[in-house]
Amino acid sequence: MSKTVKILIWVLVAATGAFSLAAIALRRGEAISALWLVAAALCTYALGYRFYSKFIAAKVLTLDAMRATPAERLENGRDFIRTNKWVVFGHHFAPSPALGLWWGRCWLRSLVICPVLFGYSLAQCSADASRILSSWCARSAGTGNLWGRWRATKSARPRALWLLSR
Amino acid sequence: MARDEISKTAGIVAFVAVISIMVILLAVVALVVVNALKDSPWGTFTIGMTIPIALLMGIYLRFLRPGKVLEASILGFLLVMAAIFSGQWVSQTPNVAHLFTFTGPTLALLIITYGFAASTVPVWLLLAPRDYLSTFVKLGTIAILVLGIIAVRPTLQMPALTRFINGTGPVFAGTLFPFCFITIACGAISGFHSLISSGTTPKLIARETQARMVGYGAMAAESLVGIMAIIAACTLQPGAYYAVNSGAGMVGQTPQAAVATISNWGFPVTNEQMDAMAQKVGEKTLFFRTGGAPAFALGMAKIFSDSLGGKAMAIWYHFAIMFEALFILTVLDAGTRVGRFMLQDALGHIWKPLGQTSWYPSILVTSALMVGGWGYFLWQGIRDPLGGINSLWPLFGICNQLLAAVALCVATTIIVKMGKARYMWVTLLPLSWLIAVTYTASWHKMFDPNPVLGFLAHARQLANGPATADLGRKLFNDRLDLAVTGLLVMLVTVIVIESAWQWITVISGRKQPVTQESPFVATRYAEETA
Repeated sequence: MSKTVKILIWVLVAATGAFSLAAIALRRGEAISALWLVAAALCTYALGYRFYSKFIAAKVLTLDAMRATPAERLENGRDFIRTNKWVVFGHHFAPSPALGLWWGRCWLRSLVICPVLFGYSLAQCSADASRILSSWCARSAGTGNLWGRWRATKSARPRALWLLSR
Repeated sequence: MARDEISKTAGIVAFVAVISIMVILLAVVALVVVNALKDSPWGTFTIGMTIPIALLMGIYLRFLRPGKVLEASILGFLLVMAAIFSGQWVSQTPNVAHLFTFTGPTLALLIITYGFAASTVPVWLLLAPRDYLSTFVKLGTIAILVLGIIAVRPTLQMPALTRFINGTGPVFAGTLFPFCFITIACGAISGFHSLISSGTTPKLIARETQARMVGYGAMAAESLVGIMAIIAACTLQPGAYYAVNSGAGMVGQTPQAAVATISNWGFPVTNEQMDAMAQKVGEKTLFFRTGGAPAFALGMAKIFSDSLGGKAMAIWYHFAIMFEALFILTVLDAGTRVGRFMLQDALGHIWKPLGQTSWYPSILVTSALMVGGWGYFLWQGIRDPLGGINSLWPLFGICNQLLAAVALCVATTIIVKMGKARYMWVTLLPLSWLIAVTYTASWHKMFDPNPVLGFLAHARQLANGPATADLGRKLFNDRLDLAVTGLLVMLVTVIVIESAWQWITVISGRKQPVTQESPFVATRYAEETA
């Protein structure tokens, strides 16, 4: 696909998303169709994934396909296993505490909140990606030897974080 | 020396905070599963069946046909579908149904056993395939829901703003800010997910670049589920929504009183409407069905059955209820395993062999400790409506968000220490927002003068009210919640300050940014397509 077409498509996605959000936010006093919510959500995710997550992966976390991951370096058949990416996706996605509780905790909402929620979940996305990386960082010495590494750390302060980041 | 001491303390502080938050979360989640499956043979059967199906998939992928993910997925999908539909048959065949009808305590024991098993057996055997299966069902259902919404184009019945944004509504007390953001839900920022991201996921990822798809992509999908849930509930008539979701104490003790109160608020609803709806989904009544699951299931069933010409509302309703319990269970198994990893790390400091992640004696001991922790609260909570996890229930939401704040602190620190301080806003902005939200909410929960909201005010109201037999225990629960909230907020504050100090020293150049990143090791799988 030529570059121009790609750019056009993304501009279109952005415009649709913005228009849907505007429709949700600005139409007062009349019921709106659920389609606006779906459209706004899908466009936001598409843009977020294409641009923001790419930025995080490339610039912030500098992910490197050539670097062996802990699953490869420490493979032991029980806890460290190279796993198909869709299976990992499933594993990572599934433990989301309960749709149902959503209502119990915080209904009374206005639909205007939805845009905020989008932003919020994008924050979660970046938090998750960074967290995965930080876990790798801390796993420098292999698990068996972590305490030794921990003690050997010259600076004391990161220790607190170490404990967490593993 | 002093610095050494302080940091050691902070390390322990962080560990205590995270482990206690996890125990609370897992116990709550387990209680939700138990309540969802209690006396529900359909749900119990289908969810129970996901375990052998997952085992089969795990063995299939590892021994029978290694690497054939597509085959295993199709197999798993078909079996899960079979389990869902045969669940209906099970529930309608009395002889079989009673085999899958359990009481609360039995279910609790079963779930505790399952949690222990999922944490101890190799991850490929049970945990990863079961989560994968659940994801299938979840994403499949959500995709169908999206298609259903496009086909039906339902109108959102709920007005954009109700009069309850000031926190006086029947469903939830507390103002829009901060309580809209104190939630455990798909699409909300979640400390629990951060634990998964640092516990199990990084041990499984085959290639670094896949972190983008797994970390970011999965969360975007998660958020979509949240949006679908909003839509499902908003397509109900607001009157019906409030009738289903309001506790009996809030709108009147009888359906008649509830209908009158809710209609008075300007959300008309009638008894006949509610009865007709209940009959359609095969329930006795839909009044006072709080907790959210029934409202969501109703909305979802409505969209599904409308897109099929208004048929089979009952099947979809039960499907939706089952669908929810399925996911809550995945929180338990993954959570227990992550808790085990953390305990192993901590105990490894006391006696080194315990710190070996994959050494079986250590696995068994730490898994038992973790399961014992949440299992104890669950067990007490089931046997006693005021005891165990029930006394900590109000802390549920805040715990999750506090945990997320801790995770973002860690992430920011790592980014700074990687020498990428100019990008630290990526996690620092969400962190600032989260601190504003959680601290405000904690303050409200502790000191708000409204007894529905503040623990202290509630205790005071109870103390001034008539003496009842359980007064002492209710007071104790309020004070316990107050103390635990205060403690957690303090612990998180320590961590935030520690991290901020770390950022300042690194950015100001007083300290070399040293990451703990492992030295580069080239992958042996370079030829595989990423």
